[in-house]
Amino acid sequence: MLIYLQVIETPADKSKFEELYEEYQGLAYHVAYKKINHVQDAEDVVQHVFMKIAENIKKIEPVSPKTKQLIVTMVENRVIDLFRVRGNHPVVPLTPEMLLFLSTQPEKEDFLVECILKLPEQQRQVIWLKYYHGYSLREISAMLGISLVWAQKIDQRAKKKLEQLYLEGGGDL
Amino acid sequence: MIAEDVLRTAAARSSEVYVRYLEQDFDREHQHEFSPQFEKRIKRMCRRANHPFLYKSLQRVASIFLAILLGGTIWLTVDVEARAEFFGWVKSVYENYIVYRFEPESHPNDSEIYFPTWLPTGYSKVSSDYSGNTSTIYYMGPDEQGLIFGYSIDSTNIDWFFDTSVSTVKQVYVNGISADLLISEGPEAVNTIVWTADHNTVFYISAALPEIDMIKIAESIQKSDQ
Repeated sequence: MLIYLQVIETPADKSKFEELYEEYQGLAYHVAYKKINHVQDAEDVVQHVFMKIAENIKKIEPVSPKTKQLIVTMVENRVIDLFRVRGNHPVVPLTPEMLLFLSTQPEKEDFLVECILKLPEQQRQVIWLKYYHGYSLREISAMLGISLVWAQKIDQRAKKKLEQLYLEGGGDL
Repeated sequence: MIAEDVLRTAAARSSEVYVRYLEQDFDREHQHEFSPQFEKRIKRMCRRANHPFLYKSLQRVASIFLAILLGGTIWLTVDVEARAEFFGWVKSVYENYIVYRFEPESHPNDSEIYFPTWLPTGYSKVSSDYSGNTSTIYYMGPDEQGLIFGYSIDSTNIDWFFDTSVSTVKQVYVNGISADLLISEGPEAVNTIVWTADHNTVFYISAALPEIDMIKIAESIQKSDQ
């Protein structure tokens, strides 16, 4: 694990990375394996994600629920990359089970949450990274390993699709 | 158009819901034990990670990295006998790498620009990076084979590390000057040639090319008139 630390400059960043690694490596593997169902591929995903974290350590917050969600997003993105290279694509639909986690939010807000969860995975990831984590599209492109132009396209498509889903479901803009 | 503040709130909420869903059967007490192969691959990856820009742009090029000098740095397994002195640049040979460090006693010159006047067919410049007295020029060849030419002049605040753990070091000559040729022993790195010149400059070239081409490029390096 120390090996990651050579790409990180300051002791504070090293410490932050170490804590993130200890806290989330298991969950990262769990999420990757759940989607890929292959030990070595899941380990590859974890390796890649923590390398990305090391490279972007200054932009990533310390251990927190928000950071956990960011790491899960990065894992998912890497999984999509793997499937894309192999010519297929994982389907992770919005399930009724997932909606059980929606609790007592106001109805209108819950509906928009549902719409976000219905977005194609990469569009959903960009929405999360931009509107929840507050990253710029340039930062998102670096984090996800995609071009800035592609990140911009995904962002535009995501917002368009989101509005479409929202209006179709009776949402009010 | 959905208002941004509404979107932000919904984005946060949906991310939370999604992670809770994925996390529901995660057992923190019985986590996956990563394989020895995983650890090994991380070590290999580290060599690329030490120079992320290089890794992104030219995946197959060399295990080289720069390190800012830190006070009190501890070097392990120093082979004192192998330490060879140059005027200005000092080479130290360690178990897994060679370090070129500039000794500050000499007088720094103005920055000068160097470039190779010969490259194998099909190679062209893709980008360059000039930082203080350190310059790096990236080239791309056939089949996306990368080539890096870098040099540093009178740099008292950096060391050049050349990873020798996956290479065999051979002494060669560049225009009569002694140079180290690091011949890669695996697919994770490529060949690198490093030498010093004019008492104050260290050069390196890194590429997936045979020894004869590495030396030919090195011998073609010339100073620009700029």
